[in-house]
Amino acid sequence: MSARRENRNQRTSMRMGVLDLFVVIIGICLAVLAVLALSTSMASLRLSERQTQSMQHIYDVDTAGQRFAADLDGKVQDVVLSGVAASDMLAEINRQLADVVDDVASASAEILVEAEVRQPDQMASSFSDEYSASDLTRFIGGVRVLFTSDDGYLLTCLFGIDDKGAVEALTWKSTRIWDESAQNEQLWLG
Amino acid sequence: MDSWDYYSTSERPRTTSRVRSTFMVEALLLLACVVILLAVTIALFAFASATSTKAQRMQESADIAQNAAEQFTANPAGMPDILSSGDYTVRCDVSKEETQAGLLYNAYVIVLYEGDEMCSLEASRYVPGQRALSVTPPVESAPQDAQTVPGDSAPTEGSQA
Repeated sequence: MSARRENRNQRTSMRMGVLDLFVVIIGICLAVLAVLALSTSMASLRLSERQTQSMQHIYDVDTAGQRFAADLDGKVQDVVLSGVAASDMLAEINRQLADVVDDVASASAEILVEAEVRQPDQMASSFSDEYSASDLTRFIGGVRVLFTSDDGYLLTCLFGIDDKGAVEALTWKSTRIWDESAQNEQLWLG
Repeated sequence: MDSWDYYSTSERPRTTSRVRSTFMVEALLLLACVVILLAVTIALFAFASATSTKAQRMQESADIAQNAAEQFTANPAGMPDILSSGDYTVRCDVSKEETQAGLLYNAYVIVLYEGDEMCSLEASRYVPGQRALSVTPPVESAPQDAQTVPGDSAPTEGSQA
């Protein structure tokens, strides 16, 4: 009994002291800070990438819109030069609208283009918050176009056409379609 | 043997030496843990800093590219090939395409940071010929007259082409 007790007293065990505890706490704090810094920077990078992509998509649909404006202007000019009466001008433009849409769709493969001719009263009712019927009296009609990208970016345009064949962009609105499923995407990776 | 004998004259040097060696082992282990911890956390902080810097540069380059694209949209014919904005260089390749009734300008904007491509985008701008076509997005607060493009030079170029 005495020998065992003596042996126990001779063994010196390592015990956790104040310094060890301090180092452990500092270590945990540093690790947490490092992980937070990493997750913040990754989230910033992801946000920047998405902002860049978003900007590119907005300009893609805008480019399609500019091309459509160019083609529509050309078609309207053709119609005017061919001597079509002002009363029949809109119907003639309606016939040629498919060519304009095809041309734009072939130039911008990722963009879906939908266009339709609008009578002045339809233009006023569609854009009643922006224009009243009296604002649109100088136009014989118009063309409403929707450009939709694969990622849901939407450009809504309304071109007014007067009886002399002048085309004016009355509405040029870039928006994004709300996608419920996209809400599951994690922006913050922390 | 009495417990007080433990600290008696003959045992004291051996025990003291053992305690010292134990303390040294403990201190070395602690030092090793601290070094490993610091190495890992410093690496993490360095990576986080590099990622954050990259994100900041990407965001700045996106803003610069957008500014350049808007500058092009405002005046497609007068867009310089190279622009400089701080440490960033903007290359703008403008080409024009004749359409039935005007000119369609296409621009490919690339933002470089120390020679590395950070961001790129394509923009277009249609400039009509003689007739007054406005393709500028109408400004809601602006009067109706302000919606037309002040393209004094642009239609002239269209007619020249």
